[in-house]
Amino acid sequence: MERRISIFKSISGRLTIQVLLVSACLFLFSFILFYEMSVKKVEEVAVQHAHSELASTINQIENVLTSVKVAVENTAWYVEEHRESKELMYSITKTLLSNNDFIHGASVAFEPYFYDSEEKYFAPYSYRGENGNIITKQLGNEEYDYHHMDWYQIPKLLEQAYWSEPYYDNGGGEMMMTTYSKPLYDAYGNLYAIISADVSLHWLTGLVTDIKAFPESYNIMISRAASYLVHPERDMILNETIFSTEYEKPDSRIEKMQDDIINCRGGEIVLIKNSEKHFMFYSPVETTCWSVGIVCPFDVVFASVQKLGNTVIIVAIIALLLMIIICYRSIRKITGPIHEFASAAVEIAGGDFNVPLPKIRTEDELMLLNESFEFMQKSLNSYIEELKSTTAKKERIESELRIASEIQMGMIPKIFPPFPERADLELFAKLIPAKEVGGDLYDFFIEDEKLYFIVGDVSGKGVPASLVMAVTCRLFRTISSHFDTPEGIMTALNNSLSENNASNMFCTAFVGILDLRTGTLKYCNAGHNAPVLVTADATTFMEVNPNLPLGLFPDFPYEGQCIDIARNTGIYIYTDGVTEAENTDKELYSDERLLDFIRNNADSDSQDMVEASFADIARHADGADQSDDITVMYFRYR
Amino acid sequence: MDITITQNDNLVTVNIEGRLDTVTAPELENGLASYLDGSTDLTLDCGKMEYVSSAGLRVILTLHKALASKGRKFSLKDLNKDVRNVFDMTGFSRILTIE
Repeated sequence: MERRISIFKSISGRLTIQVLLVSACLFLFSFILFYEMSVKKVEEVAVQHAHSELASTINQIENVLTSVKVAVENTAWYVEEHRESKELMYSITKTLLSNNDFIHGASVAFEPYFYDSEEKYFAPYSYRGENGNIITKQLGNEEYDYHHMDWYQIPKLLEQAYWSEPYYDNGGGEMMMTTYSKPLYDAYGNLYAIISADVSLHWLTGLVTDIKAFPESYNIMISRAASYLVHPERDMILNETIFSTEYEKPDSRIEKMQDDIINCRGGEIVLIKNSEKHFMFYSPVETTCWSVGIVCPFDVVFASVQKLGNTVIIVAIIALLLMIIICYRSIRKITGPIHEFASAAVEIAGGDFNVPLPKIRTEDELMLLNESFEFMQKSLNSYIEELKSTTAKKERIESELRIASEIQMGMIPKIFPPFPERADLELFAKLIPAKEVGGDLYDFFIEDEKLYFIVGDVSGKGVPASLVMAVTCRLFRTISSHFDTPEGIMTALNNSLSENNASNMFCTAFVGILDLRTGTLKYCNAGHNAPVLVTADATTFMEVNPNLPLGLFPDFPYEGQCIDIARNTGIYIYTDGVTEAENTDKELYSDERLLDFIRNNADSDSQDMVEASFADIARHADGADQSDDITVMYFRYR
Repeated sequence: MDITITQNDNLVTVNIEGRLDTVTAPELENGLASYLDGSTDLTLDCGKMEYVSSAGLRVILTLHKALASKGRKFSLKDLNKDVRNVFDMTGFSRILTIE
């Protein structure tokens, strides 16, 4: 009967899973919240860090550019002072170079025919030679018509100083340059020259590349027109713009960056590059409106968050596992007694009422269950004790009844054939009580060649009837020897039985005396069923006087009767248990059926007749309980 | 067995329906116990009585003796053939008043 419950269906299993699910949900929610906040914070820190790095680099760039600007401004003033001195202009350009190391070349380019109506081009120019010495020459001629160059035209048109887009200097090798040009005006506001300084930008690359904001970041610098000035891949420089390479899918964020760069603003965006998310932080160099940018893979920026997240997840998983174990164990500890109760219940059902119950120390529902179990055990024990004593009592009564039955059966003749030595009489009788003891009786004996016999039926059945039956049986034997007529016997029996019969128990009886020598049958019937007479010619009920049963009215005058019977005549004497035997439909066996039966078996000897008679009654009853004692006595006079 | 008891002036009529046997006889005895101390006459209407056993006869005889000792009348009526036979055969017809 011990049943195993699946771990997932047990209370402990189910509760653990529920707790686990709730905890996991709560953890997940907290983790997501924490992660989001961390990401935001890290992003803020990253932005701050990148911009501070950018600011320091940009500051250095600004310093250089400003120094160039200041050098040019000061020189411009000097040119103005000595405008008339044409030759001095050469040395001015040379001085500009020697004053500022970043300036690679400088010129003061005059408007056409400024000094001489014959001379269209006059632009003294100094530049650094290969070994570092400063070379000075006149730049303009028909082939190099500087008046139409950008560095000349744009500041002239804008009427203000101008930083050119960086470019590779054709003459001076692979060197990126930018030119700062400033228009010069006379006292009347007429432009007469453009002073310009070519600034080598080789230091920019180093400066920008040296920013190490994040482990895997790289840095770029772009011009106002978005061309790369600094980029890890050299081929890109001045050949590509940020808009053609640095991102894959243009969207509104890119437009904002575009707008920021053109308008000299800083910011940061997320780019998709090589299918990977990248952060780009950018900040402008205000003097030239170039932008310096730091590009960094997204994951690198958030590596710390990732790492922290992973740690948190691992810790959480370990915590959840621990929780499962602790939870499962503690719930099992609670539900353990339930298992024990279940086992105890099985034991109790198996009959062991004193099986030990689990010890419950907690004052909870389990204690109630424990109390109920204890109560049940006590009740069962007392119930079983009661049942035992009742059963014992019943068994005692039954055993007493069994003994009583044996005693009762011992009072009637049970040895057949009773007179094996006699050829003139053949007799058989049988009595089956409805209960252990009954009220039917029969007896017979031969004295002086006369057969004395009685068949009787005490009213009711069971123990009360059996007592009267025993008395009647004994009285018959005692009285018979003193009387030689049935009515005499009957009267004496009646008088004895009527004494002190307050309960009105009575006994119907048929008493006969057959003279075996003559065939004279004297008989007396006390309210009993008329016996059946079986002769060679007919099978009929005997004529009987309706005398009252025995035991009711003392001194009742019983009347005897007398007939002579021929040899080979049978007498069938019975109690009403025969004719009133019922089947399951409450139909009686009936006098008619009895007569038919006897008629059909008229030739049988006495034992066959009686046994067949009981068999026929059983056939009629068809399984219905025997409701009354049944007695049949049959004898044949031969 | 069903017993219906009706009382008219000085006569109690007991209608017995069904079988009067070992099982039901005590019912009749107990049912009529309270009428034994009265002074009325008693009639058993046996029109619907199907069967009477010796236990039934004993109760009827007890009733007869109890009433007769006080000079009250006790009678039976409307006995069917089978029941009547029992009363005849046992000789009860000779001491009971059967109408």
